[in-house]
Amino acid sequence: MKTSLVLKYEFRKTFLSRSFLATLFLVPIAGFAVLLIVNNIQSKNQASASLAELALETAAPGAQGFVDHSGLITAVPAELSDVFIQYPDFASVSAALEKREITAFFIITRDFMNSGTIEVYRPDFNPIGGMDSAGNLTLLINANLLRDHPQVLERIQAPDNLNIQYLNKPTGTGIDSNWVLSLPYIITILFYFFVLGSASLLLSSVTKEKENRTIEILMTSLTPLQMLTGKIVALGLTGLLQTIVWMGAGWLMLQFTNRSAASAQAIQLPASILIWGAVFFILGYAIYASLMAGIGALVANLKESSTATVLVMIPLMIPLMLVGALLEKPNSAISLGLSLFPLTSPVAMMTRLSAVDLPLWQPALAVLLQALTAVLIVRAVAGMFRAQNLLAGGEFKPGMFFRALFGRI
Amino acid sequence: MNKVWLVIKHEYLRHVLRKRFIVSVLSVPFFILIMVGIALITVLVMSDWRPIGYVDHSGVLAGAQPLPEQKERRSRSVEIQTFDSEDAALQAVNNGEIQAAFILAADYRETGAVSVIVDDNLSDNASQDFREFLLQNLLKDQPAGIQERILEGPALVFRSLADSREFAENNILGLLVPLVAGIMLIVAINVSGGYLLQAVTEEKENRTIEMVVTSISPTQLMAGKIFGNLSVGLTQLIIWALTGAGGVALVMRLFPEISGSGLDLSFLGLMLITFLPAFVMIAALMAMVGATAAEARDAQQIAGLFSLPVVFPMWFLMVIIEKPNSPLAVIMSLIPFTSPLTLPMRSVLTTVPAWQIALAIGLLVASAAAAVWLASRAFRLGLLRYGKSLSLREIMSRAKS
Repeated sequence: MKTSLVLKYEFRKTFLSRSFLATLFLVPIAGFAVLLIVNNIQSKNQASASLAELALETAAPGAQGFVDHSGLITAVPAELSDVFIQYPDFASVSAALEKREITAFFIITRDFMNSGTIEVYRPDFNPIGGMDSAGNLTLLINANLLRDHPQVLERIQAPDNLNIQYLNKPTGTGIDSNWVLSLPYIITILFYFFVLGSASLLLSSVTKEKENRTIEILMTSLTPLQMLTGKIVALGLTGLLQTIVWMGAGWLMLQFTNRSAASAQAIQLPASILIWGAVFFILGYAIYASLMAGIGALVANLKESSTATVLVMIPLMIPLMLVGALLEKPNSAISLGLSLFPLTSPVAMMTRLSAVDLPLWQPALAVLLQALTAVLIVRAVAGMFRAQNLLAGGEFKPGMFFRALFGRI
Repeated sequence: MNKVWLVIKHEYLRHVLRKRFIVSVLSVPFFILIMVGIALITVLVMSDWRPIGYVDHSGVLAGAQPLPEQKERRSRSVEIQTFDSEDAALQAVNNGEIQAAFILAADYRETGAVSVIVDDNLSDNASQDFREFLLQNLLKDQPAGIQERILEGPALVFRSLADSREFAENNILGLLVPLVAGIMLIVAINVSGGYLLQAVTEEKENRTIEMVVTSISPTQLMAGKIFGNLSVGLTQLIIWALTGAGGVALVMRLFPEISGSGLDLSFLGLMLITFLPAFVMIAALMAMVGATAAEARDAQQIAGLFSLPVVFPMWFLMVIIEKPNSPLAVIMSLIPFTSPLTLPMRSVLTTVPAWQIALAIGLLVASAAAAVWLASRAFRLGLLRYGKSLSLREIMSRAKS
């Protein structure tokens, strides 16, 4: 009963605050505004260009010139005749660039056979964008180096048409591979918004009663566990609301820009993945949110919490950085470990679940471990709320955080 | 003036002498170390160093030369064994003696067809090594000079037509340095912005503001706070920059080959010119939010809206790097929030027209001045007001009074 009182109070207070409403609606509105402007310009310019094309619009790729000081190039291969034009010297090629007959030019240096050096001149410098022409340039060079061995040249271009046969291929789930690749990112971003959004609210809400010295009075009629549960659930709900609104807006925007992206709708995630996802999401939130609340209980004021928050968020990032390993070797020891460890399992296990078929015991065990951890942490954090920690105005120390977590204070 | 100095000193020392400051200074190198560690783990997990085997029905690999000792990039390559029959190779894969068996079809020279038998996964390093092995043996009848040229490929050196800049293909540092400097700026802005957010409300919350304003004017107090907290962020930035410079020097000494044609430092001046006003602008905006909000909680949420656009260019990093003259990149280098990250990055990669640089800096300075003006206004109006937040309209309309 008291828990629900706390819940109602916190929910109403956060939800009705102007700053919350502002962030809730301003972010999507700003997004839509940008979209509208871009769309407007777009329809004036060219009807068919997509948003990305418009933003990236640069000069159309044209022919490129080259000057050969090494004497290597005797002929430009037929397939490259539109791409490369040979010029006798630097003066003529730069004049051609000036007249915009070519978009860039290359100088094959005199000692090319020894050093391999080719100088590239582009009007906008742009070394990274200029790398695009490296493939064609290599073909030009190789074709002239191997002009008497067309078959070797052909093989060099494509040395291995691989046909891979697996003896024990891990059975896939049949989910589109693009989805599998983006799923860990989507989950992490969702989680990041959600946990960080509601957890920072939680942090400030926990420190608030401490800062205005009303916590002692509250503690006379509420148990720490009741107060903590109320706060976590209430702010979790507001966080969820915010996530849903933002995601919904993002989805709408996607619909708006990419009318042709029917493929995004065609891909459907199996129900089992969605259910597992929901379970991991809720448990993961309980763990991270209560850790944040624990920090809130220990820091003297809000200012000190930012360093501590980073500490808690690190484990969330680890599976994302290892996503390559998780997808390439979903059954290796490190993947299994990451997907069972409670702090990393929401992202890691969901990634593996979408990539390969797993025995049921693995996600079940991960859920069990997470639930256990969540309960333990919520209890430990409730312990931190005991008067002595709340009264103290001391600084946040990581050592104290862990000792309190294990009930040693 | 003396009083402003006192406030600056107080705000500065209060943060710098704390353990928390040292922790946040150390956190960035610590993060970088973690990233490097995780990258190493990924490489370790993804690579498989067991030997690979091949069966050659085409004769291309008859009398094959083994891969030479790797001198660049990777220090290791997998051992390559030859098998007489597919059955023997399959057996070896089954026993785990080799990780993959490559079988060259009889018509390999014409089609390039290669089948691979693997257990559950073909590791990238194995397929790469085998490809190199194939290339090398395809070319073994060619003269040594041609072989070398084809295997190594051309080395591109980008030269600017407008000035004497050079950018070699393998110049990783030239790109990384402005990027890392930009990230540090973001962190430093967030740190000192966060301090400022709290600093302006602190005296209000502990009810000492009435006493403080009896002996100092609000403008003095605000100026002192802004510069004091800015210096904290700057101190952090300088420490990182020095460490970073040391790190770069060390890396260049250890791996001279990646330094390429040397580091182009011309962007540093531009960076300094854009960073300082951006720093002041964000800090003043944060102070304004802190001064107008009724509660620290509200302030933090709104402050997020200001620090978000600074990070914006990071999301479009690939676009800016690959097409530094695209409309998106140009627009981002003009908007005051995004220009401190975008402009120096572009100046490394392309020749930015002078009018763009001038306009971007002009806009930045103007918005910094406007932000400071707004902040001092807001601070003065919100100074003695408790429990009620200040609206933007109020700040503007009462500005004249």
